[in-house]
Amino acid sequence: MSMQGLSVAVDVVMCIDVTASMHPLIDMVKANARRFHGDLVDACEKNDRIVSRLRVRVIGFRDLAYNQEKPRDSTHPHNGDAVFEESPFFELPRQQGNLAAFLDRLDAAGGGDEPESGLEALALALRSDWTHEGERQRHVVVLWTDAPAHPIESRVAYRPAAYGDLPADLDELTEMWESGQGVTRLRGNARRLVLYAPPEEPWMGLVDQWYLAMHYPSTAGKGLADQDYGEILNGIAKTI
Amino acid sequence: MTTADWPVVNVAVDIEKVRGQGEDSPPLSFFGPHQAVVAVFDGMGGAGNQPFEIDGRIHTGARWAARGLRSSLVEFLDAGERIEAASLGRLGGAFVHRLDRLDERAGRVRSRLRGSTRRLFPSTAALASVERTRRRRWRVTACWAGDSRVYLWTPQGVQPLTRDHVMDPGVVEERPFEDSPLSNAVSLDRPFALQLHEVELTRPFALIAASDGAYGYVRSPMHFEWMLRYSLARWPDASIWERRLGARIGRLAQDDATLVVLAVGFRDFRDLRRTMIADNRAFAATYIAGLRATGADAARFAERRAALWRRYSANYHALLPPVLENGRAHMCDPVEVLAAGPAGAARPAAAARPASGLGRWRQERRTGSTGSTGSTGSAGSTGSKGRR
Repeated sequence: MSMQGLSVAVDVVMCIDVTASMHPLIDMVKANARRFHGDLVDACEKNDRIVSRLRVRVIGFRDLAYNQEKPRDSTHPHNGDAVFEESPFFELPRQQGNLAAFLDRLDAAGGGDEPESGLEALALALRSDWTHEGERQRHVVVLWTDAPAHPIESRVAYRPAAYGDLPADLDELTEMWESGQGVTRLRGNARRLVLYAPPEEPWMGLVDQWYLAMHYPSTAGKGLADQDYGEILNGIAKTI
Repeated sequence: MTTADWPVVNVAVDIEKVRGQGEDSPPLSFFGPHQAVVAVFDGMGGAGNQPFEIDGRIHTGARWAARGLRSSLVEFLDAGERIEAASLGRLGGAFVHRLDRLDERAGRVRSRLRGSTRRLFPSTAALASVERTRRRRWRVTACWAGDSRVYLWTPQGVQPLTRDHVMDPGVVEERPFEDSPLSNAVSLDRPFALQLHEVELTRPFALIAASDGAYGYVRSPMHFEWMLRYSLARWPDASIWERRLGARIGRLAQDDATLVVLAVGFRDFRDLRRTMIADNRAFAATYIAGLRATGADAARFAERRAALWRRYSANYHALLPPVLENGRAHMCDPVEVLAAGPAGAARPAAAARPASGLGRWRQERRTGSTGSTGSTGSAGSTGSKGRR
């Protein structure tokens, strides 16, 4: 009798705060981002989960208002327009080099006041071209930041045209997550969210309200304890 | 005539993907004076992966919970309780008190993770009891929380007697090839529901209790039935069938997997085998060969599978219970159960708080949870029971 098991395709979108305040942490976060997919595959294998296809994309984010108001520095590779730096999905392990190169280009710069545009970055992540391949999918968003987020409505006026159709407020963003409003590729049963963020709003409220979200309350300047990191990976792996 | 006099075939599969860290409890077969009961418990590894140290051993809350609930059920049945509507409140109370005792003994391992899906000692539960009401009449009662299932298996096919408690109800009837997060499971920090479904049977049958690791990694419900049929046809006695079925499930499953079969009303294993596999050839020709012929063409496979599912699902869902709603299940709120006092004081179903709606389930409560072991009484552990 020939019976085949199920194939599971996993997409991971990593949203990384690349403002100046992240400077002391950015290398560690990038290192975490580099190892995350490999560690996830290891955790899956340890739990006998088979991932048939794995893709990763990265979204670096800053602050919409600061990036729009700040005079352009044409000598800087990430001038005022680069509030979001988005990569395509990289197929791993085949495009590991491309992922590493993209991560290397991310600099911790800009941002202005402490809250950043992390919620808009989440919206961009949810609108990704998520895989529908395989018989089951997992759509995982991981966000790293050391700051709270500006209310979405307070930054609508600063949006470049390319981002004009992002959600108008947190309610709309919540609808994107909870009911798939405005996102055609995100599958409700496949979604998972992991936040490495300080224990402040909006992150605390968001993780309480959004289904299938996990929050590691990060402390500025400190990384993840191995135990916490392992728990997060195992938690995701066991839902694959 | 007690259950000890029934001719039954009873086999069980218990697969731990990581030895010593499995989050399904060993499947249970219990033979009381009037009821035989089979059960599986699947600790929720995603929601309950926080580790706890209890009696010097560190395991996830999911593993502690599944084993705690199993022990709790054995104690419940040993005390002479039955699985029936009138006892659901006491069963839910017994679950809560067991988890609470675990929590009292637990030294919590530090974890700063939070999340809407985190649960304190979470586990599914699926159990089924069989009671002979007349000479050739049996009452089967399925009771469950979560997505572990009870199936009825007769020559007419495999039919679930439980409806998964999941966030996306579409995966139950329209899209059974997909999975969905759970909307209900037993835990110590949220109210939960125990749903009940009864059927009366007059012909021999097999009951199957299975965790999602056992049924969820085949490519369709038709493949699940074929796995049972094929393995039964191929192997000459129950102990070999048990081993081979376990090996097959183990190769496919990407999760811990438990499954227990209790066949009732057959003279012996040969009678069961002859009855259940009589139309294997036709089943394979209809549901399996056509899918195999699609080869590696994923689109053709999906299209063909959807067409066959439409044909198969009418009988498959003939005994499906209604959607979980208030009034159709026993709502169990750990806060109220613990406030009411020790396990013996747990109130019957009629005293359950009526206003406790599903919308309240996601409210937060901070507490701790369970212990385990307890009497095994006449319970079989993993593996097959002697009488075949």
